Amino acid sequence: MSGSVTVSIQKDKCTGCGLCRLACSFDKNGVFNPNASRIWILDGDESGFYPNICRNCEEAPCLDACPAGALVRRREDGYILLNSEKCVGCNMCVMVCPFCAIGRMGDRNFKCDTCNHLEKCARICPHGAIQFEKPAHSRANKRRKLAGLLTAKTGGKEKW
Amino acid sequence: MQAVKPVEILTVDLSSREITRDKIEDVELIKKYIGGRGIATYSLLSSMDPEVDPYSPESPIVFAPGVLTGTIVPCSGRTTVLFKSPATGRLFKTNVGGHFGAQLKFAGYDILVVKGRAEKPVYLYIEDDRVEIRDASHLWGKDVRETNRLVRKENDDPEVQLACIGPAGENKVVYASIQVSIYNAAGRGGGGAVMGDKNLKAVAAKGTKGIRAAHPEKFMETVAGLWNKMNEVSGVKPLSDYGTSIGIESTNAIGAFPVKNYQQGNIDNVKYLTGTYLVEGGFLKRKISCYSCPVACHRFVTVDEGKYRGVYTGGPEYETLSALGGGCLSTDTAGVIKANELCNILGLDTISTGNCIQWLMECKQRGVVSDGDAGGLDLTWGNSETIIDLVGKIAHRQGIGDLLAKGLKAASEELGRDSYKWAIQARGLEQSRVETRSAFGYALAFAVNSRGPDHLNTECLAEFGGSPEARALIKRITGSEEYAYPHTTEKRADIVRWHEDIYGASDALGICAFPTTAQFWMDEWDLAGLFRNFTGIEVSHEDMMRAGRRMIVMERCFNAMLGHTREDDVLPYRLMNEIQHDAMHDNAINSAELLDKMKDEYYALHCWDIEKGLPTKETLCELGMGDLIEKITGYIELK
Ligand code: SF4
Ligand code: SF4
Repeated sequence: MSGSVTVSIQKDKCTGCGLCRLACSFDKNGVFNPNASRIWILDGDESGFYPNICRNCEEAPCLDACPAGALVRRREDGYILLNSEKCVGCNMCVMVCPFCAIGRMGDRNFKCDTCNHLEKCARICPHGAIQFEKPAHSRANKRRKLAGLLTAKTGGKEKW
Repeated sequence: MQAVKPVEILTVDLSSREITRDKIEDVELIKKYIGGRGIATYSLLSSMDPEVDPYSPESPIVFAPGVLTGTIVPCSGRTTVLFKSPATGRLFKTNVGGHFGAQLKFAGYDILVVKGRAEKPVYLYIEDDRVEIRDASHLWGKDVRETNRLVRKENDDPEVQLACIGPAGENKVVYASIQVSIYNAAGRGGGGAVMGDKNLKAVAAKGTKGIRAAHPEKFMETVAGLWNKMNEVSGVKPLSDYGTSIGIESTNAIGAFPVKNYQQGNIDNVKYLTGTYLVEGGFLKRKISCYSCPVACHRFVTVDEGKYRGVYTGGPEYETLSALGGGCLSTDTAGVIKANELCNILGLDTISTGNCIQWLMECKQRGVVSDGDAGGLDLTWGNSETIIDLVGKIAHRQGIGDLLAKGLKAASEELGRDSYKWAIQARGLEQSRVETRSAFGYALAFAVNSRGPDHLNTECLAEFGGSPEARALIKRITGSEEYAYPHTTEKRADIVRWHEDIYGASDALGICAFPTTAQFWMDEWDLAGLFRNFTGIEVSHEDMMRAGRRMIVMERCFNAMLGHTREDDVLPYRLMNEIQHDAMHDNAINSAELLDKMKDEYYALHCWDIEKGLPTKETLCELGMGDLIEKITGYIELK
């Protein structure tokens, strides 16, 4: 799966505008409805917002839990897809997903499919809070930032 | 007839506990008034007796998110709140951001009307078709933060959005705000006191229904066009980075920052009151958005050291840094943040609160009030602790706070002794923090504003010509960039009326006034395009502007039915009678003659009766509002 991209969340950048949720629901259902979105903004009040979305786990509990074969891993990019047609609505995946990244409308569940690599949420986010990148790339970025912080003359003020 | 999505109206009567649902399906009516503020104002004007006491069960309060609220249109998350103001005794339109309006829309409602008065404290819970009047005894007395927390907790839903009041609203402080979270307030005019009078602690909304555009593809194209425009203009990034207080340093530099209750035009060390300092001083922790807003001009700030350590709140905005900071001759950043926090959680309008405190400090300066009269508070200019103390006293109506809680008009009448001369209010509303003696467009706008002297019906920032976009707009309105100059009366009427129109249109759509009147990346063509593609109703840019104009005309008619005429289109005494200190130009005064000249031009431009400053029957007919004549002439004569 080394070639695939993963989602990387910069939580301090999120302002809670909800645009990503509307972009998602419009893409998937042609409607503006955050409840139909595959991304959630967890509102921690004073502690900020967290855009929450499927991480496409390497060892995905949802995949193992689904009794109906509705969840499958796509070979080309390692993404986990939920086939709503096959979903029996038993909620096993919801129970085991550590991120609560599976939603439900009516009696069927749904999850992020990255809009087939168009990642509508990341594209609309005005503040770059959601990014999809290759894991290696994401690690390299993080290290670069860290290097800057660790080597800069910060007078001990900078926090990281 | 063309089939369109009807305007859904939910009416809750707190006295009879009756809940009714109505629809407006008349396309012509929708075209005329658009939705939100437009339709809400129309229904109040046509159905309400304007003479009812603001504190009576018959006086309704209306929440009207815009047509586009809840959609992906950038900056479309705003909600109009309408009521008869206990401060001004007139119809009062306020507008608030946050996420409340969007949830009301997702629940399926375009307009919520609350009337009557509950016997004991209640809150209204709305979740889709479920509408309940619930006991709120346990919430009464609680502050805004706590109320939000408790309601979310008891409904086990962190997404429930509230419009609620704090103790100030319960105690009917005439400038009590309606708070949508700690970041947004329908702050002005005392809507919070109206809710308090109704025993209505909060309206909690949550919706799960989706919103669909009539022409989704075209709609998304229009939206994409707006994103491009937004990314091109100069003003968006600074507003996002530094918030609404971005302009304080430059306003101070031109001597137009109202300091020491409008006795000075600038303050030393203004740096501590700027958005830049909120960032550099480490106060800013996060930018906050209204629903669907990519700009995020709101702030989440904390104070991490010193005596106010532990304070956390939304804000402070330009108005607050001026009202509770510079206006009181204070540049204590942490002190302003603390006072702001109290206003947000106790539910007070920061502008009126600040103006009242400044007035009291000037009363001491002029020997009209002593520290002893204020229960031993040190009323010296700039004393942060006093300012903070007074905020609490106003909200709880303790000691001298009880006098201030009545608003400047009543307080200065009660105190007497010339104190009206430095009471910065007109028609019962404390003026917002604009030095109108340095900006004549603002002066006219404030004088004719149905709310009273403030900027939120007609912000005509463009007259300063502060950006290429502003100058281009002034050229478009007046024919020449030359008029992007605020120290002249020339063309102010044209500039003000254009702003009134676009404000109305933006409010009706739920769009924030910044894109249309401050950063200039949405114009009337954009608004028409959005409305067209969203509703499927054909409108032109001119239709949008005329709809906005109807809102101004309706507000004026409502107030005229209560006796308002051109004599009432005035500004606070000081601004009309004292030359502004530190002004950069001659004639820095809003004298009666100056206002009269601009008012004549303004009424004439509107085709109103110049003598009375009121619309004529002909004006009403020309705007297609002939149906309102009978109602209006039941109260007053129209030419
Ligand atoms: S749905 Fe949850 S468990 Fe499954 S891959 Fe995504 S994050 Fe992992
Ligand atoms: S679009 Fe970005 S800023 Fe807005 S809610 Fe989503 S993640 Fe947060």
